[in-house]
Amino acid sequence: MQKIVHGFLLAWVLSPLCANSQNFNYSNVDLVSVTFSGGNLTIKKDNGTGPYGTPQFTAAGNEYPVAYVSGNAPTVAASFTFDCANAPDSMWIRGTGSDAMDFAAKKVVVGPPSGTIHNLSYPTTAGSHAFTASIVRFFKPFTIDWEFSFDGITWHTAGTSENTLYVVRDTPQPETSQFKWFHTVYDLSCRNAQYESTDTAIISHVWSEFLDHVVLNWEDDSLFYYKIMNSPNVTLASLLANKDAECYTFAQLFLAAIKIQGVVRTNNYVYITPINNTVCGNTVNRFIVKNWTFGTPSAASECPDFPYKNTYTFTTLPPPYTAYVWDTYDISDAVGIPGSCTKNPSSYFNNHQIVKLDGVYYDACYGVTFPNLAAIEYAAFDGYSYRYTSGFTTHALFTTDLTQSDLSETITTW
Amino acid sequence: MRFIAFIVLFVIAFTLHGQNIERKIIIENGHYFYTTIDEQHQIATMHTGDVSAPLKKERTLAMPSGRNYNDPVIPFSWDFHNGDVYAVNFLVNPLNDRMEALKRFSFNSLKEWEKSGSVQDMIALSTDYTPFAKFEPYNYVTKQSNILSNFFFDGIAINDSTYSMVISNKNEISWWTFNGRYWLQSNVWYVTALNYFSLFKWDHKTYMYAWDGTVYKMTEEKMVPAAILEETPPLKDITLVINRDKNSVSYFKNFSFNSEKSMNENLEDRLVNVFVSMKKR
Repeated sequence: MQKIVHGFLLAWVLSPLCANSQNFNYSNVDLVSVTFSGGNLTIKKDNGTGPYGTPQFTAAGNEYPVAYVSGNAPTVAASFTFDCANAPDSMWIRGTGSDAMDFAAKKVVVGPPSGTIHNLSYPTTAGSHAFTASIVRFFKPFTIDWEFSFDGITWHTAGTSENTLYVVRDTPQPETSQFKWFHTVYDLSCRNAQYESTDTAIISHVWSEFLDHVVLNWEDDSLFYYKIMNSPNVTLASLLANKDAECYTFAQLFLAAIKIQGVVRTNNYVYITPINNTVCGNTVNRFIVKNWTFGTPSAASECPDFPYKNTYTFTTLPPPYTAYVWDTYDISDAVGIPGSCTKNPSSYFNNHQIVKLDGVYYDACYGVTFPNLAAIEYAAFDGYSYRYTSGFTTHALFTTDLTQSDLSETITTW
Repeated sequence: MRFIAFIVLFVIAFTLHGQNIERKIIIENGHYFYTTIDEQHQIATMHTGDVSAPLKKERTLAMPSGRNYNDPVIPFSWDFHNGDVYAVNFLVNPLNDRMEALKRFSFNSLKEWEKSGSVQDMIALSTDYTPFAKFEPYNYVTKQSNILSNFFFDGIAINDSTYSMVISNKNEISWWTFNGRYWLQSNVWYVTALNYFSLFKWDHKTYMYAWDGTVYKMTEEKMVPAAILEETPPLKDITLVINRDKNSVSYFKNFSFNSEKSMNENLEDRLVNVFVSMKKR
């Protein structure tokens, strides 16, 4: 009889109803996934494979970004597993998030067991308050500490979810064939414009990303301006996918980071090129960006105004595309104005593309602003050039006299 | 070389599975010609083959030209006439001068991609390729206004020495002809192009298939609605077929080609003759 009583007591201790156990090990409640909803914005992957899916957080490793328009509250649902042989019928779950965002306690049904494992589902629940209207926010990460309780009084930890969460000021401008809601666009924009609300402040703070010639994507990887000197990447998508591109793309990235906040500016994308004036019978349609080293001019008799001459066959940038290659040369490329993450980017151009907002020219490749076109010319150029081809040889003639041509601009809305 | 082979496969795959044909297919001497644009590098490929042979046997030739992806899209402006290919090289590249965009090169000079070097090399070639003529229509519109809006263009070869182009910006459409020596502006109409348009010639006249499906006959005085089609789809929904062997201009509603079938088999029962089925608008 004593053995029977002892056996019964032992069984009661070893197989408790989990809610009644005084020495219960609560680590057997595990967070499985968290899904955000309630008007969250689409975020496209930088690698071009489409938008992030759901659930945005999984214990298996998903930590996808989430974005909302300010004035909205985040909404989440979550799932858990509960390892218990004698589980109660129901339990309580709640979450406490960043920004003092509470996700209210909800009584949830304990699902039928699979072995000793039960599923728990925290229903779709809006956060306790909306993100402040018209204010940009940046949470890296936005954490939610999850808790469960058997009685709604005593709470125990049930895991933490972490997601990067972006709050944009207004609804982003609609996507186009070029402007997409990419991850880095959100990240760069919200990271720099955190707590800002006015157009002017958002533009100014987003621009600060470009000032130090180190433009970073959401992973803190460098985005290079001409890592290879003839990068074929000319779109925002290709910049973000390849992390290396031409000038067009940095202008587009800057504009995209403005547009993602709902800032509207038309006639914002400027294509600049020489005015195509004629000198010595040829059209001036090239310029060189600082610095170039000028040797002894060899073509003064051919064209006194453009006395320096280089020649090349087929192209100045043959494989492996790391330096200009000339058959003969009076001038040569030197380290000068750095571009994003590149000390000496390409610098022999027909055209360049920059941003114009509220009368200010923003050159996102070089991280500089200008009040007018003339200022660009004198701050950044070492000279103008024209070229002609004779047989298989192209003759490029140069001048350091910046009065020999001028810049024209063509403006579109990006 | 592996990279180039990838590009070729890429182009073929999308051509046969939905990559856009740029504006039109030209059929001449039992062969078809059409162009596509690489979706990553802006560069054009000319596709050509026997109209009776399976499309999978077509040749894909690298073109030293292309177009950009700017929004709104201006489809690649190209034409094929008497063994020459005409193209407006409007890809964005820091060395590509828009004023030098108009190119003409011999069809026989085009090589398959695997013999043409890298995409970068082809882009470099395109930017230094001697222009056929200065792009005066572009110069004109940008002198009128340096803000481009409703900006579109297309050009076709009229004969060996004459090239015709229509260009629009803001609320103006102008028609230009290059006669081998200089450009003549035939006329200017104050009409807003809401989207792109395509030119074609038929019976020695120049026509414009407009964005909304209206086909205009271009005369020096005005753009005259040429006729009405039973069905006049917007231009974005169709591809023109210029069949010089049959002296016809027709269109088909866009669909995915079957690479196992010939061009004739693919287009069978899909073509709508532009002129036969036209009615007054």
